[in-house]
Amino acid sequence: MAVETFRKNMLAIVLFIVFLAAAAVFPFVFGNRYLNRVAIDILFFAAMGNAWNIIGGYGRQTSWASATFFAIGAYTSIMLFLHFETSPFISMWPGMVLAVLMAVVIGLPCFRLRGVYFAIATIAMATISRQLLVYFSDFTGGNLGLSFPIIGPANPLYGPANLLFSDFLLRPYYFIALGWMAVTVVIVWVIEHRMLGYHLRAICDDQDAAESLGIKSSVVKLKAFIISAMMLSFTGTLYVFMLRIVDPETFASHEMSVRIAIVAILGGMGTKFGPLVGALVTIPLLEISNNYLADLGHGGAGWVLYGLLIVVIVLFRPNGIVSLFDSAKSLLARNAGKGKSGGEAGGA
Amino acid sequence: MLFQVIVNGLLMGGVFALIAVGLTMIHGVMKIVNFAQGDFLAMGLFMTYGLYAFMPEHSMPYWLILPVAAGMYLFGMIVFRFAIKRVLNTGDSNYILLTIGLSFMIQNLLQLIYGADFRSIPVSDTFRMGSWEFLGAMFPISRIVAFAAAAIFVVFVNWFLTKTDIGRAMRATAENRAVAESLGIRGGRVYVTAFAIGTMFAGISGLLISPVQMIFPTAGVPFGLVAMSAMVLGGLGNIKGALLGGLIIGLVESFTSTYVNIALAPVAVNLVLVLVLIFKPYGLLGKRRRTA
Amino acid sequence: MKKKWLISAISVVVVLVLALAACAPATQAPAAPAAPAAPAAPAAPAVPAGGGALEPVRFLVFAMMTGPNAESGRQVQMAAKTAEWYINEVLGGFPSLGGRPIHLNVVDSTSDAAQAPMPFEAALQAEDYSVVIGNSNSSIALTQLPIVEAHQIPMITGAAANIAISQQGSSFSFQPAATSRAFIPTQLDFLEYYSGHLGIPVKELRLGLIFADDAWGTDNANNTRQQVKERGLNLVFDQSYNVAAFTDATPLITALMAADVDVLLPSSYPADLSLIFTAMGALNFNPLVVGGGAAMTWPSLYADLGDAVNGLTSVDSWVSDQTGAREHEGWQVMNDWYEEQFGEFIPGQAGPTMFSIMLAYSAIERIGSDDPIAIRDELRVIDETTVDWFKIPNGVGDFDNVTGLNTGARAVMMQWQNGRPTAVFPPEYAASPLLNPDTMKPFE
Repeated sequence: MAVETFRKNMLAIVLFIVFLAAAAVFPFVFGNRYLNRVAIDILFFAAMGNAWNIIGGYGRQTSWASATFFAIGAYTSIMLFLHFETSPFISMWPGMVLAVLMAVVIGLPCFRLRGVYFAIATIAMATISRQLLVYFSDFTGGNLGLSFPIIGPANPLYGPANLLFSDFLLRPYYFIALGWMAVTVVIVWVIEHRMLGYHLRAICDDQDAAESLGIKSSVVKLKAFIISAMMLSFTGTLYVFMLRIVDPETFASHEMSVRIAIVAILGGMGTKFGPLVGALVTIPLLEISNNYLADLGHGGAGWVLYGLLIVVIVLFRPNGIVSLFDSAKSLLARNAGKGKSGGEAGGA
Repeated sequence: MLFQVIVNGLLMGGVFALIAVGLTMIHGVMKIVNFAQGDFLAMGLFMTYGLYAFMPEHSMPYWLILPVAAGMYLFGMIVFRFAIKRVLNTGDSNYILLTIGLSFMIQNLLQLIYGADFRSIPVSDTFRMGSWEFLGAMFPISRIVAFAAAAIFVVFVNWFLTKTDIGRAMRATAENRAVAESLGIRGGRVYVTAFAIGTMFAGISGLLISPVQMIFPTAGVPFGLVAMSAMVLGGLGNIKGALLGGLIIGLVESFTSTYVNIALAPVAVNLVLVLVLIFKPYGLLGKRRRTA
Repeated sequence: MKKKWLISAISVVVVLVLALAACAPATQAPAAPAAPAAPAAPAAPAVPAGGGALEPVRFLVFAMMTGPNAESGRQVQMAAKTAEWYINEVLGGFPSLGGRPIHLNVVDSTSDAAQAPMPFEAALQAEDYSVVIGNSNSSIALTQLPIVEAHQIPMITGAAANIAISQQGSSFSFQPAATSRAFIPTQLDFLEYYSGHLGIPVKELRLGLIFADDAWGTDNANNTRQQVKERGLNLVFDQSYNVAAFTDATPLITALMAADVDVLLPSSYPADLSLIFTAMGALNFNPLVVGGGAAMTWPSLYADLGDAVNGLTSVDSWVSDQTGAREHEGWQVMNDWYEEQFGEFIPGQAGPTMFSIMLAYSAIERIGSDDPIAIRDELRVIDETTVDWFKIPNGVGDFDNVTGLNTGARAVMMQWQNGRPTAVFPPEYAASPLLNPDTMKPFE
């Protein structure tokens, strides 16, 4: 089974490995702190996109509650660190446990719903969760949020054990993000080719038919949602140690959920590399337009282009940017086939 | 005070209902949730602002309802023709992405052109802060007008859908597109009308709240979210449901804000929504459809 | 067939190029390429042969130009323009650096703290800056702290109110103006003063606190609760509202009326205040209003309420006619220019931005260097006896040597009179007498 899947996806695997190799070298090539920072965001959002994809892409349950899990991971880790100096390697686990609990709490009522009802219900649950974060302000700092003190090399808390680095070029965080992103791709891959993936696809195509075959759709969806939540929470832990602040507006907002989902939807729902491609396209686009167009009118031109890109991609490439590669591939294959069979008029 | 709380809730709920009804028109016929509905409202606000410059100071914006409605209707037609049309019946996520992209574009185009300053239209004090007293409660005049206008539009839509040919065609298409087409109903015209009406309603809602609502690019965002919640609460594709949903949300917000704590108002609304959906997965008045 | 393949291929290439193209802009920045000033050496001024280009001294002004808080960003931008004009045209640039001009680059931070690091890093990468001014938003300012620490550039936030900024151990941040912790005592002292004039004992007043649920509002509210407890005042209403979801204030006003509130203490933004005041008008609710700053002091309030704004009071870290500003000649020149250019008084975000810039300017002039670290060291040392721009903020002007917080900064109360805010309390900062809001005449 594994060999078959490898061969089918040979090209994709090769490209991915090439990409990873190039990415590994990237921070050293340009030695540019800003570029590295942008790259870190690309990688983290690609990772979160992969997490979203499990439930949103493969499962076709567009969840708008991703930010909640992201925030849970971030808050848990920063709170444990500030109060008990807990290393993120330890605090990531309670974060993921809480995320799983939250996923169950959100998933149980929501997964009985279909389509738009589900989507709106996730928005509703996300809003409620965010208010909870604010409500328990004694722990979470409420709307003020929490922040790390400045921790330099002289501080005993500094170092890899606590994921606190002060490399000017942000390289440690870059490699953490890169590594995690690669892991998320692998996780998605594994799911795609295992029972969970098949069940998800069956439910996607026709939930009623799948259920008649004995697939318990709510259990399957919940499993996928839980995995997604754990991955998002883990990303939150990593991200907060880089950003060094957390607050409900930034981490748990509807806007953040939208950003996460868009990376995956734009790149290609239900594909392994969609989110990565989505992040690679949208984030640099935003940065470039903000850098060059910031003076246009009263500002915001970059976001107009961002919106325009989304619209254009939907209109012309509804299966996401990744489908470009598929088209290219199939065209290449077709032309190669034509050549083999002796050629025909109207070919290349 | 109870009466005042109910009044507050209903008056605001009427406006929510109008936006939700617009959203429902679009969804009912095309199965598209317009995530940019709130931004259409913001466009209505800005249009009102722009046109109000031609009005004498200290009057009221309601005279502008015709140009704003016409302008938004036209805009809806254009958006439909160039964007929405292509994603019809292409699956669940495309329209989400499209309307979200539109939302970003509209918000930021407004920002680009107008800047993010908070603007307001200088209406007369009667509309700004005037109110009528009735049975012990104060009815803010601007909100009564908004509610009345919303009610008129909802009644109109109901008449439109039940008594006119194109309205009936819309309902048929919403019910079952394939059958409708086989009966000779040309989907194209039905769709564009539905979308344009939905857009128009959002724009009109903007005009109706302009006396008290400050005008800025992201002004429509909370209304968009509420409208979607109202539509879902009432049941998709159901005008009466959207009306009910809007009013309920208005009341829940009002009761929670006054009797409990305003900080919990968004939570209460969402809680009610989730609770309703637990017991009625298709909304209060919605019907089950065989979709993924 | 051919065309489709071509299109797909081109699209793939375009996508890849777009992704890689992020490499290009930062190193070929739209502005002049990064000035190669070595950190330790003072900048060598080019010989000014009548029109010869002198390398400007660059300040980065980081403000919220887009998003819900963009009004404050616009104020900051106007402040930056004013300061740039004043320094270059009136003061002749930096005389100690051979007359080099100042260049204030205003960069949009967006209103989102997760986005803000990006434009910040982009700007710092593209140019060499000597000083960073801003951001006014505490969450964003907090994300800036580790970044300025890494780049080793001092950062002066004139208006971010969260005291956490000075508590994180940053050695590069400075807050010259009053924080929320200083706001509330002044606000409540004023309440006592005000109620005394109205003939009501302050402890009998029923206070109603409403605040926006963001970091600033919450900070104000926390401090208010603590102070109210210490002073034995009667807080009967205490609620925050969600700024993003605030569409109608009538339920809130209904609740305030039910609680029989005499004095309203709002910490709110322009759109919220608009809804609040119109609802108050409609429901005939007319408490005393003593605001917590922000939109209560901004021009948009007058634009919105017209003459109904007169009589309203609020605390803030800055009022355009506070004593320090009135009595400073240089400031008055800037003030007049600002009012002429922009047609309005210098509001709460602009004032602190301007004097922050002047403080940095003075530090540079004193040491004759544009090196960021030297500037930071000098900022720690200056105070109002050595730099008279430091007299402009109320209180005693001096940065703490470790935290960079101006612990001597005090807040001031303003009242809207004749469509402008004017300082009315405490007496040492006041410019006008407090007027009775009912008669708009001074109290007898």
